[in-house]
Amino acid sequence: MPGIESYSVYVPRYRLSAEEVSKVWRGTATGIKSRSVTGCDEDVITMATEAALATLSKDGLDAGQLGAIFMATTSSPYFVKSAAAVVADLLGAPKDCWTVDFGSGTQAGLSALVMALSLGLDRPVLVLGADALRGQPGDPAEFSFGAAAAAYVVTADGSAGQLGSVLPQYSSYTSIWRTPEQPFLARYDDQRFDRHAGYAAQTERALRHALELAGGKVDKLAIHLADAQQPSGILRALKLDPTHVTGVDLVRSCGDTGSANTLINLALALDGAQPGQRILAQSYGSGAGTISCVINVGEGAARRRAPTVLAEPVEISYDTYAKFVGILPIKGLPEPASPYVAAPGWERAKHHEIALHAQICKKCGCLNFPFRYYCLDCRGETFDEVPLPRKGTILTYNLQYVVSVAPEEAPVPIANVLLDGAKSEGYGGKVAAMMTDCDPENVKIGMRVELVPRRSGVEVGLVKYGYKWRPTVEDK
Amino acid sequence: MAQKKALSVAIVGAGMIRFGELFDQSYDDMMVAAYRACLKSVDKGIDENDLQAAWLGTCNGSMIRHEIVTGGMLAEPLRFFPRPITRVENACCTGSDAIRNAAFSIEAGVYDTVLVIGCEKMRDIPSRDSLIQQTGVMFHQWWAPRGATAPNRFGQFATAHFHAFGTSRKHMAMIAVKNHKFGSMNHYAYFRKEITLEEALNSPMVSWPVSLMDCCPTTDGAAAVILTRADRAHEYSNHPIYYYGGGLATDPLITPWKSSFIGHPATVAAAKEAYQMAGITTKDISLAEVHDCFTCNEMITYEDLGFCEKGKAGTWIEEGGPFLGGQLPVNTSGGLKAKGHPVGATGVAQAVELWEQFRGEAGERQVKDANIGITHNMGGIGTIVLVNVYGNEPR
Repeated sequence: MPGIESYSVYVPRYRLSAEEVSKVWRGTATGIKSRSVTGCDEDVITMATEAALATLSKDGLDAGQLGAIFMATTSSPYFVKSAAAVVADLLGAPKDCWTVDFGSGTQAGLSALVMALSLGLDRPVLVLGADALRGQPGDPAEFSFGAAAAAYVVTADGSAGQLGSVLPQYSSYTSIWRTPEQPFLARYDDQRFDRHAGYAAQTERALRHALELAGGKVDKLAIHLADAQQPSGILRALKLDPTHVTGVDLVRSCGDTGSANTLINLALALDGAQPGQRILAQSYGSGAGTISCVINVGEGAARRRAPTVLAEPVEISYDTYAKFVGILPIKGLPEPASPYVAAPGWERAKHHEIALHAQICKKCGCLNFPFRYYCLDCRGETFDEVPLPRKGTILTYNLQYVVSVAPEEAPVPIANVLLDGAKSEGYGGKVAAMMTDCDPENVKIGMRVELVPRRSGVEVGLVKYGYKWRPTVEDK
Repeated sequence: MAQKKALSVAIVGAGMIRFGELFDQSYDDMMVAAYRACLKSVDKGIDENDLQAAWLGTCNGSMIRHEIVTGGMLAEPLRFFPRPITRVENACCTGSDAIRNAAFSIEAGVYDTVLVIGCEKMRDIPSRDSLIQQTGVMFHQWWAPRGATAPNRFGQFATAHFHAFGTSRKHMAMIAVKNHKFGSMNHYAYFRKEITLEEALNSPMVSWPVSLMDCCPTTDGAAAVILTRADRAHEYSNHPIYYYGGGLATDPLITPWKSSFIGHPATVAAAKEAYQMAGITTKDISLAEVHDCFTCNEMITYEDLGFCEKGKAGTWIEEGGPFLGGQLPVNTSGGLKAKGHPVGATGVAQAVELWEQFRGEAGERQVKDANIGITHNMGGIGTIVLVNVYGNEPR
């Protein structure tokens, strides 16, 4: 029977506090202390990829084995252009990997997981839920929306959790929506009607029916948390134990993370669960409705969790947030003569520079990256292909004050790094890139860093993806 | 390694224009002016028809002017046609490599007397869009066309050198002060004003540790020399100087593909070949024109050229080594820093400085008893290095 094999969560490091927002706008969202914010070089594609890399590395599952990638998001950089396909490029998925994009409502994350668990494909399916929700500046929703990603691998015999009963309840009732021209989510401001017809009412009704379908009792509740307060009313009405609800602390510090919301809470539920227990997962999307399902916890739950990629949170000011999410427009750069994103250069570079494959010289062991015909050290012509090591130590660096990139702001640290396992003498084994998510003052020769996928510019209107060095992050 | 010993080639004329942001001068205006200055410097005069061939060193012509760059760019303004012209481009070694290749033709006996011109127009576009903006030595898919610029790549060598040897921005600033002092004494330099150590240390940061005062300016300019057989030199000149040859060496282009961040193997290799060809050691060198595109590069170059031991550049600077009156004066022309760096012209302009020094025409910046001098150019980040050797006497 298909089951969840492993899972991981990624949350960006930046936090915008409600207090900070209230310096600019009046009002707060109930119960939300802060919201997570994507850095200027992040989006749902980079976040989903980071979560995917963490979960694939557990159990040594190779991206080359993936049979499908289901990516759910309502904040893709594109309306036409598959986000799942870009993630596939970054992971090095095989050509016949089935890439599917789910969206239009934040319940899509759980829907994609249910779909994968129901399909029973032979090869592993990577399910991704990611969002970086943007509310209208000044609207209370602005500071209750957050950003995060969750990744699940579903295999034919996954042992962390299997699908029980499923209850979809569609609804076109809309309080939050976005049309193609709008950069921000619009909100229909009638809170009493919303309580009557929207999230609170639909969630209560869905949980009631899903519990009946499930035979009454569950051990944990992984439900969509729009803010930290709403569940208590629902739980009281259904006489459910609030201590069974996961993710309340996270929503207080990160906000509503949309398509990742329920998937994160399910991950937290699976973390502490015992085999044989049952988790009721439920997700909500405005304009879409709810989906609920039971996950039967299997033998592998506690062992299958991959590290949640959570950096030490960094508080930012409102103006920094505004630059990060594009409310304050950054001065445009001149278009290059030939863009790399829609050109033969991008296609040729994918296998090595995007999916990160390196060559080890058979004669002398030198690590050559990116692709070349003659070994850097010995001029040998035969190589073994290996995944590029993603961690290393800074050999030298400098701080770019005159920066011709955007939206990164000066100074931008740039590091030349010796990859783990590479020889320290000779020409090979080193990679240079911009640094991200770090204070330029803290950069030192000898610092430990790792490569993370990030946006590296926009050319002719298309986003270019690449990698940057980030100081290594402890598990959280 | 070159197989030959020193060449028998002389320089009998050398001239240039003052470098700078020459908005009023076109590419052709500059070339003609440098050429005529060169003709004027030939003591006994020269019939222009004696020039049998020419070498044109121009780096960025087609990237900035968006035109095809060929020998035609010399043939046309100088009405040099139908004679042969070879256009040379080898990044910042361009001018010096034009001299080197022109000299080979004389040594091979193909021509007797030839013209070399280095010419570059960089300021017809905003300075940030020319050399400073050019990238290419990080992985294109993550960077290009933005991000990794020249100050960044050279700056990383300074960071590593500080860490390994305890040198600091102060040493870089001392070099900036030295070169501006020399520039103030050179009628061809763009910057004619001295600067103080405080001004250098406190200048706006570009790419830490490289600040504005550590960067050479983006400039226009042109320079020209006339080469002939050593045994014919006195037909044209009362005091010719001699070109012995040079060493050219390469290293990878992409910065992470380097074997060291504290020195440049290509400089060491080029110097070795050059010194061997000319039959000299560093003790024989009276003065040197080196590639101070950034002050930190001059500092590291002292070590790689063998003026002092690896790691000792800071001490050597503090002891006055590269200053006038010191062990081996460096960049008496003002260097790229104060004189300017129109890329294709630089190597030829360095030869003009040695011409003035060997002939006692260097005024306040005169090195006493200047006898043997070298020029050093670095293209890319130590990717291609050329060390040329000149002297007062035939070898």
